[in-house]
Amino acid sequence: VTTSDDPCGPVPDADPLDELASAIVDGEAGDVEESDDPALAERVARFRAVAELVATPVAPPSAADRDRIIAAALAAAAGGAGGEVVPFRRRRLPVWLPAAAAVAVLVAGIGLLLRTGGDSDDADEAATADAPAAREAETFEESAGEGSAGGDAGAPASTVAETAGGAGTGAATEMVALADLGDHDTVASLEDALLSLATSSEDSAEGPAPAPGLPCSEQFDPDAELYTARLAGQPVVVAVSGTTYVAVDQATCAQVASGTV
Amino acid sequence: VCRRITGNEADALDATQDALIAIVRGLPRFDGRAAFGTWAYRIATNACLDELRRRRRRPEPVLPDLDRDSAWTAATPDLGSTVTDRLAVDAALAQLPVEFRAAVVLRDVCGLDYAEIAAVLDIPPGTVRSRIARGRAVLARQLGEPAGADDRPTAPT
Repeated sequence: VTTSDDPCGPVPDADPLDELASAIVDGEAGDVEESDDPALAERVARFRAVAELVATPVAPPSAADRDRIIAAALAAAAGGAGGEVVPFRRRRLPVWLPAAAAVAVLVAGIGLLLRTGGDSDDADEAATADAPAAREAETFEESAGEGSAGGDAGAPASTVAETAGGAGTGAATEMVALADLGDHDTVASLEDALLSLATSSEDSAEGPAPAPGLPCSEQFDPDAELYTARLAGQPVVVAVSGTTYVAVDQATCAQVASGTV
Repeated sequence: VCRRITGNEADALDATQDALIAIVRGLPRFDGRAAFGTWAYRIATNACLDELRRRRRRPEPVLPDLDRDSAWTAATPDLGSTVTDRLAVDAALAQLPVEFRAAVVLRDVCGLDYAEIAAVLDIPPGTVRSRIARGRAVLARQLGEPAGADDRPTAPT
């Protein structure tokens, strides 16, 4: 354990009474008699109660988890490479999911605002030669109608939200761009990409949860992670929910592949 | 130990797995200068701290400066009856910076003395004493308050 990067900085001084009471609880205070001081005795009693609560046993791991850990250690002892070291944390709901959902909702709201603003701009400033807001609204409606931002096979990410962001919302655009899984000639290749995504580090790209305004959102599990990809040159949206995935055509939302990774 | 330090089962299992593998792999290098238990606790604690650093998505809690008067008047006298399950202990421990949490857990869960904790955490015994005292003071306040009270510290000390 190193303390050089201690996020707490220098350890703050403890209240002398706290420190003495704590040391008495731990039998590290020498011959100090707590009964001589009511305040000290009261604090010792509290700290003793705290210590007992912290010492309360926690639920033991399941037999399966315990066996798995022991097996991994035995495998490591036997030579290491073949050990079944499987992260337990993958069972948990990803901690970023609520944030991704919030971002998706935010983007949907921005999209609606832009659409409303764009319509208004169209009405009020139809004669204006330079009308970037109107162009943005047109772009948004075009992409929303097609369910895609253009289907450019070379584009790293393509979403309605990305187009809807427009000028002045670059940060939002950057946040909601779906992570891209690349080009794949076959479903097996796409599944390999999903598998490597699942086993890669937690810091890998993560897709936002489905939300109104994102391509084909209504078809997906609300908890799914979304990605873009090209399958045989066809832009698709891939929704991953747990160990299953569904890939749909970005333009038609027709399912083109599904399975388990 | 890992369960109390990491605060959740999944991280604890990962840390335990990492620790056990590290212990098995490190056995040939264990020279017996420290007690085996101290050495093993050191590895386990390091595995927990590593796991928390890897998994850290939230700002690390900062130990609050206790308002002594309000802290002790707010605490209810019947500490034990306020805490109805161990989740409250987890929640209270989560309020502590992990270095403080580790010291408290090594003392109260493992029963190590200050010198052993100092060896495990590689800090002076005086620092162990201070961290445990401050940690307990925060825990006493957290656990002594009515359920639902939330005074998660927001300002660094």
